[in-house]
Amino acid sequence: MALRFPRGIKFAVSTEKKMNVLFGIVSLAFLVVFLKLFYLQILNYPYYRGLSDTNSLRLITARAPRGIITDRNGEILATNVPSYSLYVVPADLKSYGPTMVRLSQILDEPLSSLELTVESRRQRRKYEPIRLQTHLDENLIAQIEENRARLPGVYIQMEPERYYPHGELASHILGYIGEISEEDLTRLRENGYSVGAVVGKKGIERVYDQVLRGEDGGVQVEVDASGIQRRTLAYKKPVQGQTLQLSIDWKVQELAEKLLADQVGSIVVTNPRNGEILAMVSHPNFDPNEFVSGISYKDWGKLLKDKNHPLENRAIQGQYPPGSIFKLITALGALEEGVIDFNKVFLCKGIFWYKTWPYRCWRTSGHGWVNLERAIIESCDIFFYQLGLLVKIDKIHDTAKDMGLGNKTKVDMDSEVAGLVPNAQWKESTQHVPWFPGNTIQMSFGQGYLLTTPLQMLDVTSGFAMDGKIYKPHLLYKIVDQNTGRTVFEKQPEILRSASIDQKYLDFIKTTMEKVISSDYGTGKKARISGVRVAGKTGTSENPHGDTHAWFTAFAPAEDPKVSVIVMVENGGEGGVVSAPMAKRVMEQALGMDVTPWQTPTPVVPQETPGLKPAPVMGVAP
Amino acid sequence: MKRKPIFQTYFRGVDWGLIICVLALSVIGFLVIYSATSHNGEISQLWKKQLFWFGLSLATMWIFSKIDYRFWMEASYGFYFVAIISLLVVLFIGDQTNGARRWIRFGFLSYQPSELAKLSVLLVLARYIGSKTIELYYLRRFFVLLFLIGLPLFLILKQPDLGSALLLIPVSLILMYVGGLRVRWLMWVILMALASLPLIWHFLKDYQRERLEVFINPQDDPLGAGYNIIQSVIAIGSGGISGKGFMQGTQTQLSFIPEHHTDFIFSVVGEEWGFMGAVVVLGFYYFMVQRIFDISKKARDREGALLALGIAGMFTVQIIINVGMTVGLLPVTGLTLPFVSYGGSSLMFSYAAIGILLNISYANRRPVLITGKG
Repeated sequence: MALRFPRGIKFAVSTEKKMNVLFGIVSLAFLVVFLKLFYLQILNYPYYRGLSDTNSLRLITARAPRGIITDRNGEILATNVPSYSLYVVPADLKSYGPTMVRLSQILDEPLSSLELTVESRRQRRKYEPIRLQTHLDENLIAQIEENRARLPGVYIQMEPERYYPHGELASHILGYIGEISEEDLTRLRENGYSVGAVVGKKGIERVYDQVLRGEDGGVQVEVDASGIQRRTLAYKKPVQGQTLQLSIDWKVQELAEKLLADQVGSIVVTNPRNGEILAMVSHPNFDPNEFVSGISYKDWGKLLKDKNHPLENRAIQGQYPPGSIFKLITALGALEEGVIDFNKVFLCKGIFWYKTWPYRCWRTSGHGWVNLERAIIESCDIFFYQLGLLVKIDKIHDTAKDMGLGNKTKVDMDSEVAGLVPNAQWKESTQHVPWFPGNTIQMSFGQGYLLTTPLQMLDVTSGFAMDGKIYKPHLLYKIVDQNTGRTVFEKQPEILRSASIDQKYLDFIKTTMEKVISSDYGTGKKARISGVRVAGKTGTSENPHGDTHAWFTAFAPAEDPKVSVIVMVENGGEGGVVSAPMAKRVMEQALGMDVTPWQTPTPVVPQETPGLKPAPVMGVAP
Repeated sequence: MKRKPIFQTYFRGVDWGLIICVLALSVIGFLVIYSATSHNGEISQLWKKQLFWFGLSLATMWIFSKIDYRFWMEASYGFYFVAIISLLVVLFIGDQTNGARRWIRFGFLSYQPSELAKLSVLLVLARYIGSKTIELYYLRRFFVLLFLIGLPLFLILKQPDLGSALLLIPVSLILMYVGGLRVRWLMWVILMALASLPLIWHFLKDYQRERLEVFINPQDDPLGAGYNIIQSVIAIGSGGISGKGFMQGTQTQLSFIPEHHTDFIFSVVGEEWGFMGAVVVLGFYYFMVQRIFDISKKARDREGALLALGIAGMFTVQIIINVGMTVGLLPVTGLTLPFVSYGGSSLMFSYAAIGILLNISYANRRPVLITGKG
């Protein structure tokens, strides 16, 4: 025997015995299973056969209430209200015809539409309940309860329903919910999602769905042969999802929503010190309540067809040329490259000829001899055309990339877009045309192929405010356990990128941004706040779809930044006129000051209408 | 001397009993998968996939039966090393499902390191214990063994993959027991493990605790694991003596039992083929295990004997835990039923093991030409 130990060792003999002991244990295990089978299949056969024949166990899911969403101070932005729904289990509709007729009378719904829903499921998955109607009122519930015995297979279930008390406000942040789609199901099945589950489709509801969804419970009921509910076998309490506290400050958000009113555009407010988003507004918006119990095709179509795309979150999905705000980046690139110093002057005569092409300044009479500081304060275009040609596209491209343009900001939202920072290589590979100096001229003041989202430009501002450090913008503030009230997760600030910029240049850009607001010639005068040093920059970007986009960005207080803001109004006109006053009020609110009453903006800067438009797109733009 | 026909020479020493058992179980597997995955006249194509894997598995078995099992012994530490590395890797870059990291994905292929780990621990134990006799009475040898088992066990529990760990522990104990380690030591280890159970409970993931709790009281969670057990027991019980007939199981056909072609396939057997069918399947398993024990007893050396015994242990534990789960004796662990459950890689793994066993039994009947270690 192979397992035997060398001769002379006395314990060796036991090996075979041990194997026999083991096989004995194995036999015993098989015997136990055999006996259990005997017990189930022979002794208790009638009982189980009965259960299986009537298929008398029904499982009615009890939906878990989704977690509550609040702002940073506990203002409720999304909650749940109870709603009663009517379910039928197709297999239990024993007297199918009469039951359906009775149901159609009680619900006051055409019989055909009810049958359409149920018919498809009479063969497949017929033991799974179908939701026929939501929002049953007391009257209906009473009627159904009265007819309980004549309505086999019909169940009423109380379900929590999502409710957004502020309606359209902050709708792009919150997003909306809906029944899980086929595609999401394949993606999420492993995380315990099943057919018919309600999931976040957009915004916070989508991004933090796993935190918010909670855990469904259910009742297991036994029904008799005629489908009437007999007794409840077991009940599992649904567990509500966790409460999500957003970094939003509702007062700021509400004010920003009010200021933007029915204009198309976006306002974003952050704390540059940690990336917390205090407000994120995109107009037009939508009412997420409409999606809760399934949006109708008509309303859905209306939202999709609206030429202003109300479902688009312009703060992260809108791509625009940033206009003159970009001059800050061109200036920074120029300083870093060493092509100019602070004293270098260029002549602005209102028009600049590059070879045979004329490029105009927004001020047709020209600015005269301007240095870099004045060029930023008064937003002289011609200065930057000449500067751009000196810096060259590659350096402008790299500086823009350093500040985060052309990349997603990684905000905790879905469907963010990256924008576009072009360079020669990009143009050649996509358009098969070489990069022209004219392209550099356009790029130098934020036009041409350049595309950015408002949040990206806000990151640039915050980057200047924080000496090159850009924090990842985020909406999550805390996750609080619904039951214990304990904070289970607190979002920590996270540095997204740190641009290494010479402190000398940073200080110059920051003081110049301050002068944009404080100087009497500054384009951002309308954002002045008494007693607070504000630093900012205006932008008015041309676009092929009508009026210019009005941009304004700022941070305050300049010496110790606590808030940075970006305002972008599509086709709004001039940044300094339209957007700066909004930014002023939003900053006042965010800094806890009294908010200046709103007045309809009037132009301060004499508006110049460019005369002849030469072939290549030209400069505008304070 | 009369020359034997080529057929007889070629197949001399083949353990036909074992082969017939596993082939019969595979055929039963096809039928049950076919029935379990077809609904209301819609025939699922899953059984064809399984047929494809079955072909590959037969080839694997044949190849493995031709590889001298001592090769596995020589290579055992190498396998062990690779297994440990991949267990470490999976902890960091593995795909996360249900809060557990178990799979490493290469493009569309995925690989579960705990599968390799189970096999390599088996090889290493057979090697370590099998190549030593009296040295096993040194306490430090015992500690080396505990380390060899403990390291992968810890990494598997960290994933966590309770099913694989559950398989590894009894198999290790069996090998140490039969290999000749002091029974007293083994007792101590078992006692200490039992004493530290509360601590282990503390480290379990929520879903695993839930499973154990549900096992104790299935009515607690009628939606999740408890539901599966209740439905499985109803299905088996309602099968009666002769069953409801092929493709007639109502519980099965109406999808009351989830995963009825993998984890809960035995409920389909019980429901559609009744007590008789279930006992036949159990009988094949029992006979199979008996054959493997026999191979182990007759093996030419200690290493071969222990390797065979380890494989027997692994199959037995898997069968008992899986069947025990479907009849409501044991908690839901996610172990499949070897040779019957749907699943390509597990089928291949099982047939490879049979190949190794065939080689051990073949070597046993062959005259020993080489003596000593190769």
